[in-house]
Amino acid sequence: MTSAAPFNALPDTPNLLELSGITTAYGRIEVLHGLELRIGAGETVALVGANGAGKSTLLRVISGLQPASGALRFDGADLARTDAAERVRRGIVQVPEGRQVFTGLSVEDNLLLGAYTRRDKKAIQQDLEKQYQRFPILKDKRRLPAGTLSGGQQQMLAMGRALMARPRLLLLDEPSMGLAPLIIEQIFAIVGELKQEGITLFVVEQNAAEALAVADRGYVLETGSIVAEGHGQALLDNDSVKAAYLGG
Amino acid sequence: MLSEFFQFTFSGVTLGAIYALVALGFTLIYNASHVINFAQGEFLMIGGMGTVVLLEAGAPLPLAMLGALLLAGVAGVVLYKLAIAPAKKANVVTLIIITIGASIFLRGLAQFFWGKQYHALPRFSATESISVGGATLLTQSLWVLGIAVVLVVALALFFNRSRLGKAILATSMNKDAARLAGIKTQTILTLAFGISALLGAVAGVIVAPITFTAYDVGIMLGLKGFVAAAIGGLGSSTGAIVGGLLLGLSEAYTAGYISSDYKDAVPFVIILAILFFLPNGLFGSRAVERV
Ligand SMILES: Nc1ncnc2c1ncn2[C@@H]1O[C@H](COP(=O)(O)OP(=O)(O)O)[C@@H](O)[C@H]1O
Ligand SMILES: [Mg+2]
Repeated sequence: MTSAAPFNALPDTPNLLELSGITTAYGRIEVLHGLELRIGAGETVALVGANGAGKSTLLRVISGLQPASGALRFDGADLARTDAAERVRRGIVQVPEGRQVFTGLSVEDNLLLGAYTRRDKKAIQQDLEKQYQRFPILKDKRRLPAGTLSGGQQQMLAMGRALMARPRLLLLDEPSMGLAPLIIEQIFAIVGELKQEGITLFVVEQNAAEALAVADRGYVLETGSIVAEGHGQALLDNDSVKAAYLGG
Repeated sequence: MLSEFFQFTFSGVTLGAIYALVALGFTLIYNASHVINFAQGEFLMIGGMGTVVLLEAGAPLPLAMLGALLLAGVAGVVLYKLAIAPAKKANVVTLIIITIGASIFLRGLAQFFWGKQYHALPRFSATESISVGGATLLTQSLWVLGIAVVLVVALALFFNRSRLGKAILATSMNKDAARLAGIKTQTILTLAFGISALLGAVAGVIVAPITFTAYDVGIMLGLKGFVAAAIGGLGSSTGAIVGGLLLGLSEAYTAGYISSDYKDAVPFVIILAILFFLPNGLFGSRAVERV
């Protein structure tokens, strides 16, 4: 499994995100080793890999929370000097692992904070209504503190919050983590909707089957290096990927 | 008997309001950065002493106060930028020690430039006191209470209604998530230190006509504000206000009914009791929420 990628499936749309030679460390421990990765505009790309492979770290690098060496280009522009807030403003928005909602704030405040980088009040209000249509349960609970929601509802809130920023590239870090199968289905149905709406998606999952099924392409990350890359279904059918990540 | 009780209650509530403001400053910084800012008391000193110095330089009282508040606000921002932000990778204990160092430094500066004398600020109203139910009520106490109430209401509105206030709350609840929402958390922390310094300075200015002010008043006022915040659970604004009032009242009753010699021991007895019986304070959230 450490051999080079068996597929070379480049996106047929222009690149929205391009990473090259991305290396990062926590203290002296290097956790990403010169990653190369690209996401085409409108694509849905999955990143699968075991716990501790470095998936969340990669998303933190893309969002600007974790410094890294190497080059990061978004929509053609180099991001080296672009801070996290500016990346959000440009449309790189993340739904972090474990939801990370603002537990003490109301559901509605959480959603509105998602639009923090925006100034178009009217459109923000319309987008809020859109999220309530997408996630009716959030409307029912809009006055309640986010901490009172169930895990699945918090996942929806975190997704709604991210969508309030009008993402061009939505990064989803293990959206199915810790959720019941029925809820996971709901979450991935919404991921499918977002894909239909044309949002470029980067879905990180340990749950490789779900993620690769919805994705156009996928990457497999193993201890900080990409070891396989290909079309979603092809990766799903790939024997070595199956053996390593799908339990045979 | 009753008039005595009123008298002690008045002075207790007045002191309590001051402690509450200091405690709110501790709370704000603690929530935003998890730092217990032991330089908080110095902002009171800068408020009071700054006003004294500007008055002596010929400024009218309102202008002198405004200048002192500004100076304190700047001191708060500088404290964050120069001492806290560069050490952001350090652990919380280190940061707390840095704030203790900063407080010694600020006190040293004040002593050097402004001297060691004690000063009284003129009270805000011409009348010194009024009589209520046989007790003497200082007009300055009314100023203290009025201003404290206005500040508390303004803070509540700021945090519950404004976008910026909510961004501060969001940052204090989950810094990474706040950054992912596009909030510039560095700016937010700077703001928290600035607001906190202003709160302290206001407390320092309004109490100075009652208690005198000097380069070293920040030590005791800061410590008592900290105790008030700890009584309230360090992190709860309601707790800070209740803690401040409880502390002010216990001090005043101790001084009145027992002896003023024991007055300053009250906060330390209380803090020991709190640490022993209620480590999360009266209004403390469960520890898990604060990790
Ligand atoms: N804040 C951190 N400090 C030190 N090491 C970390 C930190 N976060 C993650 N790591 C380490 O980096 C590696 C990658 O972690 P992570 O990106 O969270 O993996 P994944 O999301 O794939 O489970 C792991 O070995 C993890 O222990
Ligand atoms: Mg992870």
